[in-house]
Order: sequence, then C-alpha cells, then structure tokens
Amino acid sequence: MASSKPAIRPKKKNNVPRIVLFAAIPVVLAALVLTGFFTFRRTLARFSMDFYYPFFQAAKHVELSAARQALALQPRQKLALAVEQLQRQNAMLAAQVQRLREMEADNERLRQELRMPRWSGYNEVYAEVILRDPSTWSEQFVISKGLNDGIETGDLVLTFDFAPRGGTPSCVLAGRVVETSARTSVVATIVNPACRLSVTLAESGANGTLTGNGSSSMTALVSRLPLKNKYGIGEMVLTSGFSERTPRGICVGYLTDAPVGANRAAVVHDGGLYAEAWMTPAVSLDAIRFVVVLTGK
Amino acid sequence: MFAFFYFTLWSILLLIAESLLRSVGLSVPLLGFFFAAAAIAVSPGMAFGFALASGIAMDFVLGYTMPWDGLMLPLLTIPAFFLKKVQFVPGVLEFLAGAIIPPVMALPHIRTSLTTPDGFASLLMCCLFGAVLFPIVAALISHSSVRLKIGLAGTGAGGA
Repeated sequence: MASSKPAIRPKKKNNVPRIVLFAAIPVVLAALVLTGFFTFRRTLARFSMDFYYPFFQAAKHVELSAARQALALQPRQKLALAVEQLQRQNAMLAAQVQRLREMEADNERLRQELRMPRWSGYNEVYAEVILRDPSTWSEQFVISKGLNDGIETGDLVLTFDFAPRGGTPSCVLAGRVVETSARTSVVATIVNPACRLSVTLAESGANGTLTGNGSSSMTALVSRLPLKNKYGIGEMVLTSGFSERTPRGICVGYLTDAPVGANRAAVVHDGGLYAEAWMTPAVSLDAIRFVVVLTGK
Repeated sequence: MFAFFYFTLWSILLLIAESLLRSVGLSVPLLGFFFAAAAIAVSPGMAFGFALASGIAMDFVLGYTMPWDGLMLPLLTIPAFFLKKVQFVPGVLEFLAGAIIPPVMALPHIRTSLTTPDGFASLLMCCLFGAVLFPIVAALISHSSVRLKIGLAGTGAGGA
C-alpha cells in the first residue's frame, strides 16, 4: 500500500548566492549591449540616422521658415542696407573667384608642363547643422548632407568667420566628418579629441599634429613641434595640406595660454624631443549653424 | 501585440522630441520619463527592451561612439522588476523619481555638465523640471494603459 504522505524531496543546495546572480545580470547585459553596439554599429547607425532624417529635416524647415518670417518683421530700411552690403560683398567675392579661376588654370598648365599628376581639387557642399547635444555642444554635431552628396569620412568642414583678426571675412576650419549615412554626417569639431589633423604654424613654419582637448577648455593641443623654433602666443595655426583630403592654408586657430588646470605653459617640451602648444579655435564653435564640407572631386 | 505598437509609437515620437529639444540646448529626458513610468504601469520587460533599443538609436542619431543612452535608459526600468504594478497617483515618490532621472541620464557626461559654465545650474533646473513633469507623464501613461487595456488592465491589477 502506497503511503499517502508525499515524498519529501531533499532541498537542492544553492551554491551561488542570489546577490551574485543579481549583480551578474546587469554585467552580462552591459557586455551584450556593448558587443552588439560595436559589432553592428556602422550599419545600425546609418539606418537610424536615415530613418529619423525626414523628421529632423521637417523640424529644421519649420525653424527656417519662422526665422524668415521674423526677418520680414525687420524695418525695410535696415533690410535694404543689409541687402546693399551683401551685394557689395558678393561682387568682391565674385572678383576673387575669377582671380582664383585664372590661377587654377595657370596651375593646371604648369603641372602639365612639369608632368606632375593632375590636382583634382575639391567640391564644396553647403549643409546646415540639424542636431546637437548639450553635453557635447562644442565637440560634435550632425549636418544635413551625407554620402548622397559625396561626403565621406575624413572630409574637412569649414565655417565662416565674419569678424576675423585679419579683417576680411573668410572660411575657417570647424572640424572633420567622422561618420556618414546616406543623408546625414557627424562632424567632430577641432576641440573634440576624436579630431586629429596635421597643421602648420604661420610665422615659424613648423609642422605639428593637432588633437582636440575637449569642450570644457575649448582648446586643442598642437604637439610634435620642432624644438628649434620659437612660438609665440597669438601665432596663427593653418592646415598643412599633407593629407590628400586636406587643402593647405586654411585657418584653424591661434596659439594661446594653457587652459586652467592644464598645469603646463603655452609651449612646453614634450619629453625633450618635441615642443607642444595650446590652440584656441579661430571661431566660436558654439554658434555654428551652417557649414561647407570640402569633398574630393 | 497592442502594447508592442504602443511602445514603438511612443519610442519614435519621444526620440524625435528629445533629440529636437537637445538640439536647442534643452536636455529633457523625455524617453527616461516614459520608460521609467511605463515599466511600472505597463510591462517592465517590454519597457526594458524598448529602452535599450531607443537608447542605442538615440546614440546613433546623435553620433556617439559609445552607447551612453543605451546603457542608462534600461537602467531606469530595472527598479520596476522589483515593484508591484500600481496605478500612479501623483505623490512625493513620483516627484523624487522625476528629480533623479535627469542626473542619472546625465551621468556619462557629468564631468562636462559640471565643468562647463552654467552646467550645474542647467542640471538643477532639469531636476526641478523633471520633478514637475514626471508625475504628469506617469499619471498619463498609467491612465492610458488602463483605457487601452494594456499592462495594468490586462493583468487585472489596474483601476485604483
């Protein structure tokens, strides 16, 4: 006769404490997220950026329409003066472009005579800033043009300096394209540690490497400068043109004092082999709204 | 299935809204508020999954090379796994939760937030804003989940 009493099962010994399991779950999840993120990053990033692009572009259109309407509320005399000033500026720029075209033709002819490879030049793509994040406001932003417009990773991004130290309004370097999708691109500004480029100092003629130092100090570090030269605060920093994608002579910024807390002078010796100096951008990176991207032809 | 579409729709809409707010300099964690509330009022598992996906999408859209939002957003839904499903009634706890969410979301960039001019002040303002906004968001989600018969109503736990 079977006993009516249920058989008592021996209680399984739980060797793993519960707290360890609870701690392990987030760690495993974080590891999975990070692995997935870095494995499929490029594909998923392009998909996400292109999926949300029409919404952001629509919002930008509304903003620009509102700005246009607000402009129409300005007094007519003020608008007429602004138009006149712009026409004058336009005429000056057209004359400069004409002069540059002639120089380009001369350059092309001389290169042919010297049997040097043909210089392909650059295309300019005009774009507007569509997205920014307050926590990385000065370090990176998203622009409204991408692979469809010929933009590729590594292309230089310029902005306009209307009140430069030299006097004439000109284009200055804002940063570099670090990520592209079909219709948008991510730009790392020159203070972003992800942005590195070769530069030349205007007065001393020395070449160095520029690396962003973060938005908290709003500076970048020019390293690998030769020790023999003398560098002064205020010296202009230009692009060197050593890279295929980088034209020569674009203003990047000016040498400056070391940022607070950097514990370094403006120019220091880097282990006795090279000198390095701090640079401040030529233009305020916080207020950039429109940019020009230089793409290869 | 309906809950899935509910989460998809709100995730997309709030991601757009939050990105646009960030673009004008306002760091309001709308997705954080939504997922923290939806995890309790609707489904913690689904909220966790969507928080993860939305966070990563947000990182991609803003061009981050690290999944900061992808790690922080799901974190906000974890407490819901240890809580009973309840219908929200605005109270002190909701105000506190609303005030805590912005600093949690700002945690990866806390150095930038504290070292840039007005960074701390704007974070504080965001906390106050969150304390006011979160109870409203929570009450709305709770109410809508009951009306749409997802989450609370589906489990029979709703209708306070």
